Amino acid sequence: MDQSGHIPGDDGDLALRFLRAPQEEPVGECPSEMDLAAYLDRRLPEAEVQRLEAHLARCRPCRRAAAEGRKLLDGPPVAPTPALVARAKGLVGPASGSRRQRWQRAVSWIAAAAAAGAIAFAGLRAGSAVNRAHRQPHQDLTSVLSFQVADVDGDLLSPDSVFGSLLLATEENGHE
Amino acid sequence: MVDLEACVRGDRKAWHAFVDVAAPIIFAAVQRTLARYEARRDAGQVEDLAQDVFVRLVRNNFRLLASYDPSRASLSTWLTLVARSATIDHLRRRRPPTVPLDEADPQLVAARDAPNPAPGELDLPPGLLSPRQHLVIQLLFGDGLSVAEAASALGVEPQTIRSTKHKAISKLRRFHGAH
Repeated sequence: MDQSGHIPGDDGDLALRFLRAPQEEPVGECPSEMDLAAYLDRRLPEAEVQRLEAHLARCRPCRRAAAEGRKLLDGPPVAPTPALVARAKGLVGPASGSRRQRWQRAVSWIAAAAAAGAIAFAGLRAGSAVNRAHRQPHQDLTSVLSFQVADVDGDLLSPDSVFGSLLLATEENGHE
Repeated sequence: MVDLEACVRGDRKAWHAFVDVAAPIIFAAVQRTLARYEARRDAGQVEDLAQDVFVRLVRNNFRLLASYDPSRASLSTWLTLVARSATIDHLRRRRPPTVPLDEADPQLVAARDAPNPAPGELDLPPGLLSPRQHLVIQLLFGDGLSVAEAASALGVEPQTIRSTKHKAISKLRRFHGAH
């Protein structure tokens, strides 16, 4: 220190001494993209700005993210390739949709497959030479159909109710 | 106007409208981030990475897209940062482990390894500089940015940076003088 009480050394020297000194406060968690976006858009409350800037002062990756993010925002949008637009749009289409829509489509498919299975079973039964006394309808049914059957609300049907419906259908068709 | 609620419900029309808005933003962010970190890139690479961003948005039942809060930030800012992060993640995965993309902050390394406090250094009280003053000092003297670059990084006028720097240095001089 000189006679005026002034510490010799330029601003850079002082600044580097400060930056090298150990900091007592922890660095804290890195901000999310949402937090950083709010900061760049100047929508963070002042207390959160201070907290975030305290973190930025000591976290180089986040400092870079903030600085580069701001630079990226300064540039204009760039026309994407048509192929990208097509690929991105294709991520959500008739084959996808919400979980409820997919479940409804699955139930419709199962109902259609069950109807086809019922027709096949009726035909099999009409041509079958199996002794009725040894018939085990539930096991026959489950061996013919490799999937379970649901009603239109998505509730699975027991083999009893399914077989009962099929039996009625075959009797109505004149088969025993 | 993009209906994000319809998007995350899987509404195809809403999703297509979202893509029309988001694709130029994401494409630009990926292209410029790649330009910053990679000498060589081609249109196919940019497109693949941009598509990867869209996949991230729809994955797990649109979880990432659903996390966006319009009351906190604009969609373009958020998408820009998401696209940048995805690009950085891709570059980080491709690089050999000995060449880190974001090297550890030398300050933190020095603070961890040096005696506390180092000989000749001062034991600084917490809060000597405000977070903004600390950040400006770090940008100018730690990262070596110019005043204009620091101003751009913080989205403020250069005069604000000069003023903040002056106040910070004055505080440091007063502290050193007193100790």
